[in-house]
Amino acid sequence: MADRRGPHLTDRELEAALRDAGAHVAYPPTVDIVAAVRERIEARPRGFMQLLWSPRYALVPALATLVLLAVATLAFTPLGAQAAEALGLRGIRIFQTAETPPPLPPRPSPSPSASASAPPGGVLSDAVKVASVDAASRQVGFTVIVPGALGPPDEVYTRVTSQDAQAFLVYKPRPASSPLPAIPESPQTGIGVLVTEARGSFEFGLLGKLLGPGSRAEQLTVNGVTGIWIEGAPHQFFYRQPNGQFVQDTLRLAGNVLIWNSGDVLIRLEAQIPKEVALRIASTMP
Amino acid sequence: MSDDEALLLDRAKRGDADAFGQIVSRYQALAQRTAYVITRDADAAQDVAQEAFVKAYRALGRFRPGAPLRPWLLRIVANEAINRAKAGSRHPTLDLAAAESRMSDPAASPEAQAIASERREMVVRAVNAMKDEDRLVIAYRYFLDLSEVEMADVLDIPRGTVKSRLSRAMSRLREHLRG
Repeated sequence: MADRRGPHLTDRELEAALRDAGAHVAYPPTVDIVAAVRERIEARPRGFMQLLWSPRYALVPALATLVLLAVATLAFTPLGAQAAEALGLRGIRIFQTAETPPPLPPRPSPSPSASASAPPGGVLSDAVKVASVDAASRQVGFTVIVPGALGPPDEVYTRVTSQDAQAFLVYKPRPASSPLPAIPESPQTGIGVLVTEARGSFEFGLLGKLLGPGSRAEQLTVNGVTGIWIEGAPHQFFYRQPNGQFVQDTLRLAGNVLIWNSGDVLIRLEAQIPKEVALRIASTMP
Repeated sequence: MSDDEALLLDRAKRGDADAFGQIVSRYQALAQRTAYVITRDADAAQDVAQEAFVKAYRALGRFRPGAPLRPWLLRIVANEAINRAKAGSRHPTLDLAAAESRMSDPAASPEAQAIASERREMVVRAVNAMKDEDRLVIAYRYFLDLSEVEMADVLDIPRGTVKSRLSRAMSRLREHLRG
């Protein structure tokens, strides 16, 4: 008869013996700690940073602005810079919220007399239309990258202040054209794709996004560097004004967003397209 | 995660202590058992579980929506317990409950019961003699019945590493059993 004690047990027998032993461990009786835990968490409510994540408070603009100011202040210190890198993308912070602001109202139908140079959908009303990508590059002080997959933009805008410089490449909706599928029109703006490029930093770049419950953020790799893909419900931006104040930005597009760095330029690709298509476009922006 | 639990979690994230209390109520037994397996001290296990739930509450904002709650909570419990065990100077052991009150198969013959009891004691003695890291993976898998996926979450290691760590621990368990 086989020895059925430990050293000679088969793997299956040993596993069964472990489960049996586990079922017979003299665990102490479970003590009800609910009241004790509640007393402790109520005695010291969650701190400021925890509250930031709380849906109840995250939409309070003043609070969010204070937090962003704090984040930005940290970013000027070595510790802050490390923290920013740990999130994977310099200049971006993402906060979850219980609800999102309504998107921009649908744009009015274009009238035949509308100015050809009017910013699309009003979303670039703070920007100036320029003649070419080269002109935009000269104005913003860095080389504006054009997505090869989309070709030359239909319109180019810049927004340059004493402390801030952004370039906007505007693409109209387009039918499917290999290898890209059709790019639909944003009902808010009439734009198909909006590419925003800026020096990616807390001082100049886009700062934060508020995500609603229907939104999803995903960290991924874009052209070998860390990027962020956000899809779902509309998001809300915070950015830093030239006077140093953080303000809540209006939505540019109510689409999905891919954000990544190319060198020290932060690129934001917004369109109502799936992630794979956005990545394909991004891969043509080395 | 059930809809009910997701709802509790959402309320707790908003600062609802009642909702978090219900989460504590659901997981306190598992938390205390997990802490006990690591600290092997009943008082320490209770303290650890309490501390872990308080820390979990304060970290709710970092909990990834849609992720399973159980392994996330257990990871916090385990980290707290490991720190407590390191700080302690005692080296307590896991004990088996009194055999007569815990017969797994009352219908088994007295001989079979005696063999099972002997095997059980031998296994627990060997587990007690293992290094903390080995004892932990064995206990997670076979005492607390965590799946390998949950273990990967709790231990914060890839699933493949769970398999290899478990395999090595089982080999060393056999060595202890050979004594």
